[in-house]
Amino acid sequence: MTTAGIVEAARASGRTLLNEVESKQLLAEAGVPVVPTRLARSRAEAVRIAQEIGLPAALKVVSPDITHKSDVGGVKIGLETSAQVRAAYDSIMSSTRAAAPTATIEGVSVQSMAAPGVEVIVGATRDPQFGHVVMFGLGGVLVEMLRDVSMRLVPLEPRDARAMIREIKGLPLLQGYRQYAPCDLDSLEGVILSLSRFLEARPEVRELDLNPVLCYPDGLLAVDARVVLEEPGP
Amino acid sequence: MGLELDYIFHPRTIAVAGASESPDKFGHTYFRNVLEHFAGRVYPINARATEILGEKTYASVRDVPGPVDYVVSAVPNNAALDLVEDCVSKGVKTLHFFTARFSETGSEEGARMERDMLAKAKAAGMRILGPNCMGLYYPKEGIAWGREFPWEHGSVGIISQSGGNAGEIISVGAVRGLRYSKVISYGNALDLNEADLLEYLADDPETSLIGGYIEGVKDGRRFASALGYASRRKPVVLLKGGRTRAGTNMASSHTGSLAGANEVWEAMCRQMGVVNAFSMEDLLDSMVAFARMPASTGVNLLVGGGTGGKGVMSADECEEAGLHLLPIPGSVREELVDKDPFFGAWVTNPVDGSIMGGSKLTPHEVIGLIARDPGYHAVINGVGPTVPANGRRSRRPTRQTRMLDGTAAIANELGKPVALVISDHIPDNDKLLKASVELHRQCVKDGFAVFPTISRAARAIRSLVDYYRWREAAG
Repeated sequence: MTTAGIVEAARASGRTLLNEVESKQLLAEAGVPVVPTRLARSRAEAVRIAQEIGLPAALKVVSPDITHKSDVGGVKIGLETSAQVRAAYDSIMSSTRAAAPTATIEGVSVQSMAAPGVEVIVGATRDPQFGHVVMFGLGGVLVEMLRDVSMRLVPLEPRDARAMIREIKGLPLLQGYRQYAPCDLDSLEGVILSLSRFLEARPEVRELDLNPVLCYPDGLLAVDARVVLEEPGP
Repeated sequence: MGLELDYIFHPRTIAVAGASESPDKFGHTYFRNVLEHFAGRVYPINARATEILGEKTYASVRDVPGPVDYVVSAVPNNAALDLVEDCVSKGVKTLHFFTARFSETGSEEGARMERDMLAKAKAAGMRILGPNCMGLYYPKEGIAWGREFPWEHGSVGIISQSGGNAGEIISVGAVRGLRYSKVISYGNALDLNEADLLEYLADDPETSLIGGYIEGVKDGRRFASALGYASRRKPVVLLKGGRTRAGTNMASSHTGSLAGANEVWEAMCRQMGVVNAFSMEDLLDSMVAFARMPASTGVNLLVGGGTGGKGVMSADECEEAGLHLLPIPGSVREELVDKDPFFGAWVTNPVDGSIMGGSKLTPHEVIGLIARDPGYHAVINGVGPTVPANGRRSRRPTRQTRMLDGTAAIANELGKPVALVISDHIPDNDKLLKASVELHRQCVKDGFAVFPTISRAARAIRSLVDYYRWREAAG
């Protein structure tokens, strides 16, 4: 499905929250490298997709009603065999249904396991006065606690992307620190600028999270994504 | 970009609606100011009095015999709509409402009145400044709302949502040597808003530095891009009111506008090359730096005038502000030792003048010598007032005069930012107080950028450096 198609389909079903698979597809088209991810609606489909994209794999619950997937037992990672994928599927289904009985569950996302890297967040929000704002920072689950982030208004120039990466306190971690190799900051700048262009073309996007994005010495990979659309206008 | 608004600043005639006979009213002081200083015709509009300050009054703007370009309104808010109609029929180009109590009260009635006023003005192509503002201070043309504002003009342009803050910037800045091209207090920004005025000042050849006090912004995207445009041409320093929740509440009740999130504002300032001031003092310090120092992109600093512990503290403060106290380089050290083997070997940065008693070197010689080294980009020098003992006047120049002459020479020769620090502590000694005030006045008159503390001087220099680095990178 195309970007416009994904947005329209969400609108048609009265949703403002795009699921992980839709969000990633949207951002992949915008030029952001994302972990190959597909939606499985059954145990058998999960196994087939896992074999196609290659093991080891990770499975995550896909539900518009569940924000913190790991809190409800909705995430299984490092699955090495088809049997493990099957078991993970069943476990996710039973534990999320138990923890969130009223949640609509669309299925599970199946994705390949990304190699470890430095976790950052690249996101966006819409400020009531200044419009779309792109945010960058050290990411993962600690982002809200650390608050080590920088922001710029859309549209960004290359110098803005460069500056916002270098503005955070945790910059040394990206430049090579102890066991971490220096990250590919050019790719990071590229992703930030792609996001800026994407937001310029997509005024209907209200919020967007790429978290975590794993940074490597060459390239990077968005492991999770979430896109929220504006409420439809009157 | 914005110079089409230039006519607003150059009216041929001004009428003051609600001109008053009572000296403490705005309608009186404003009329008196323009009567005394504005070159064109001025008319008092007042239905009751026959003359004000010897000038014949008119019951309505419509009754004025010749054309009227600019009208200042001090009428009550319930007479505002009629005044708009009068002005439109008279062909007035700009109507400034000092008149308040419209949308800023939060009432639907106030907002409705504003909408009606705007619709009538728009249809006729008349511009509205305000309401709820002090309007223009344009000393070059003899237009001002404050009696105490300097009539000497300069090149600092100001936009301010708040009239009170605009007045404070003008008055306090004036004492520190700032002189203004144009100051616009724009209040509720019903028609002319912060982006219009910023675009104007960005292109205004009379303005070389822009300062501003902003609470809310009508069109954020346009304002941000106007800032980027302006910053590529001249420094812009902004103070944002309503940064915190408490401040935001104050902002809504004060001038009826919503303030944005602080983080986004900060990011926007970084992106657009704007100096983001955190207080009135900070705003004025930065403006003094830009107005009275040359452009600079270097952070290596030489500090003088501190003694002992004060020098140690000032070193901390300067490093914390993002400046670097470069140790005295070897070649300079050799020169110092050549002149005085003992003190030349001892002196450090910050230069402690108090250790130099009995030396062949004076503190200003030392500072001059070190500052000349190309490794140093800026100088902060502390000076204190000196009072002759027993009131005896000496023909010999005092240490203070020698120091000032020396520092002035450094500033003039080197083309580097030089800040003078004079404490604003009020001494419990009339002679010292008088000497301190005189010293401050003299330094300001001599063109120095004067700050009350080393840390404030350091922060102002850092703002200057950040701006010129941004501009260099912006190309």
